[in-house]
Amino acid sequence: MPASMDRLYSDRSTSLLRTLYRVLIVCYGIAIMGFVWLTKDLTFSTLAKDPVFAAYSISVVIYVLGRFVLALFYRPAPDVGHRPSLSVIIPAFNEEEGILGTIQSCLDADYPSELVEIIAVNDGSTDGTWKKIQHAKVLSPRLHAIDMGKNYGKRTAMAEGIRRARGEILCFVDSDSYVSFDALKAIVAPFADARVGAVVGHAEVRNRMFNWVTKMQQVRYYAAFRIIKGTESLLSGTVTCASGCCAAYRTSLVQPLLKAWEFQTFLGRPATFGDDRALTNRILAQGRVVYQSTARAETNAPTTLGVFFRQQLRWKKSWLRESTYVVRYFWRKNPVAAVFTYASIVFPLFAPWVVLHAVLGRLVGGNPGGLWFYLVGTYAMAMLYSLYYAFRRVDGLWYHGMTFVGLYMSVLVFQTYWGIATMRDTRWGTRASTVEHAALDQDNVTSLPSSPGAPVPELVEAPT
Amino acid sequence: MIMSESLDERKRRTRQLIVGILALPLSVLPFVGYLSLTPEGRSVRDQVRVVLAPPELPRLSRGQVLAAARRAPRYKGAVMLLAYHGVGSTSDAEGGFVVSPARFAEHLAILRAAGMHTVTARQVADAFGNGAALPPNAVMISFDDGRSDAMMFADPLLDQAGMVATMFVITDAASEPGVYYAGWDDIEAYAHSGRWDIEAHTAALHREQRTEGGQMLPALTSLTHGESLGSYRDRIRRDLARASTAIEAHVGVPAVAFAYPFGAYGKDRSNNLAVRRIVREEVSRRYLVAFHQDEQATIPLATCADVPLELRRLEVQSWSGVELLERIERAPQQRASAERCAGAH
Repeated sequence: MPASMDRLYSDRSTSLLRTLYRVLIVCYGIAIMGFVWLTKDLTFSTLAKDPVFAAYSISVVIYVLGRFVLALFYRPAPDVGHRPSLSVIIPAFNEEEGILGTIQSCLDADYPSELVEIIAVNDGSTDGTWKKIQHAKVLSPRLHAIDMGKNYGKRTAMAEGIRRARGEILCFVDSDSYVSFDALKAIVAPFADARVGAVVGHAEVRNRMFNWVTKMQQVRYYAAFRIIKGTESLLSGTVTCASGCCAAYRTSLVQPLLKAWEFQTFLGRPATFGDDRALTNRILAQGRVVYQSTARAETNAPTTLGVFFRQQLRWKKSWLRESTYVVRYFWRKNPVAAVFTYASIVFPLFAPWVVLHAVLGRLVGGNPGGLWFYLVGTYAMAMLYSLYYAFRRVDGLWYHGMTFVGLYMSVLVFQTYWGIATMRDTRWGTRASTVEHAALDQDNVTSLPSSPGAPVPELVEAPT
Repeated sequence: MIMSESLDERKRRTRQLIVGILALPLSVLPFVGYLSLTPEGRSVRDQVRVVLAPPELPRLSRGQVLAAARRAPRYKGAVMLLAYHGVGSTSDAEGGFVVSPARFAEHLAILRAAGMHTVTARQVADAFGNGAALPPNAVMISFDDGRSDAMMFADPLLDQAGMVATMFVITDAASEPGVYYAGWDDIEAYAHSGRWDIEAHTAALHREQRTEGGQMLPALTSLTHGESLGSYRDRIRRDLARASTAIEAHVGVPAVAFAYPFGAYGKDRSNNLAVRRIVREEVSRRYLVAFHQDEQATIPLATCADVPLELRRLEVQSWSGVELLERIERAPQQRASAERCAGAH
């Protein structure tokens, strides 16, 4: 197991200082909530003058605090020794830097070797990815290596992996992600419950110390997984997105959907990205999707603001596309989860108008008091969000959550409408992958199946 | 992997941790800024303050007790009118006069030590309008605007001192309260305590408006663009009616007293010579007495000989208790006996 990950998760230490620090954070958080409570009169007083704005503000506060409170009750499913056969699928496109590390982390993961197969699928990479996979195959014959011959897109690579998989459970690991030693055992644990159709692991940013862009994303990831997926999971297993970096599905549920999912179209265009959300959505319509905090993975996040924005836009588009499907069946789900989910669809549509109204309206309308109140209120919410991270992880990165909220309020909220406007542009944005669906030409596929029972030697040093 | 964790990397992590911990106290700054620099924020802070450390009447020093005895006024049939705005934070972005709770407490303590008796605006109206008797050494403590901080801090002090006060409420502000203005719920509760007389300060005319010359003038005492005297009269009549209706609806008794917003009653800060007469006519339709705070240099004791709709109040600043007594001592006493007032009845 990589040492860095070992240290990363050793935050269970209960030294006095750490306890003191946490008590301080909790007091701070309570003080901020007290502040929000004291200013409620200010918000209610604007209800008459500015009902949409006030109603929005109050709902958002209730939404955020509600999520926080519910997240406190989340518990991961215990490992009761459930060991179904497992196929780990790693689709890879131009990932020569990290692919060996990813494969290594999967091979290293603790799971009965006769029950697990690792499938790496090369999606027509133009760099040395296939060479690296072949290299891994030589060193570890247990690996199943597949080369699709040309670039078809991530979905096709995943689909090909699924078609060749033999496990009862399919586990997807992105080629820039790394799973922890106990992740595979943990991610299959919830499947002991027959109602569970998919499980998403807990992902953090691997290169989180690189710069402020990755630091900010680390805080974002943490809250998104622990709080959003945590509460969704708690509410009858209604996680709306089993993120691609580490997610598992029941094979029997995926197979009937495979074709429709692989060749999904939206507004007459092939749905190239948002493969994870699309698959989750279709499983969730018929079963439960839960979050397993003990199935830990790390993923490399964009290191520049430009790439980050393009990635966010892509996610936003996937979210928009899948939301049109979510709204049709979610009312049948857990009512609280339904309220949260519908709210989470409505809020982003309102948000840009509210921000513009709050800032411009007050500046032009000569109501600086209202503007200050809006700013300090937003700041209070951002602080609660960041303090949550500060409480959970003592690494000093918490305040980058403020950067994220700042970027969110100033840029990302406006992406919703940009995403709607450019919905038909299905370019990936962060890589030069194909944007058209094409049926896989099996004649050009190279498949190097695993040799069961082969010893598992140590691969080369994984790059960091 | 273990080797790749270089010394540099370790240093970096330590530095990040230190910066993160230092950022914690720094992150408080926006809250502190909001709570100390904006009026709404200060009100929020005051709310907390009053809960954590309720204000208390001070024990006067020997010197103060002696000064109070020496300067204790002796008058009858007259009343000293005091005007406060806010009680709370010592600075005020709105430019109003704000005294600290400690100062206000000192004022009450020394007024009590000097043997002065508080009366409400309703009692003043009763005395000047109906010839009712005023207690000796009467003083009216009044507040303008219906600010929540004033009531919040003053009420427990009035209770301890066994005194009463008058609040002139901007009724529209009370209907849409923020943190800054008290809402009707609070105002009703204060009124029912028996310590507060709730009177009128217009419904929505506590603002300045841009007039034809481009000048900013009080909305009560100026004509807007192209406004005729007739429509001006209508405008203020409707406003005063609305204020009175609101007070009667919420407090249960009709208002009998009025305070002019910004102390403007039409003598100046106006753009029409007829304004003063119209204001006086309209105010007299609803109220027996009305107060302003012009010409602060000499504020006489008010008697029934004064024009009841232009009574002058002393605008109290952050003076010491003894200074306040000095001001009251300096108030010229007009000769008007209680009998003459009663005779007017």
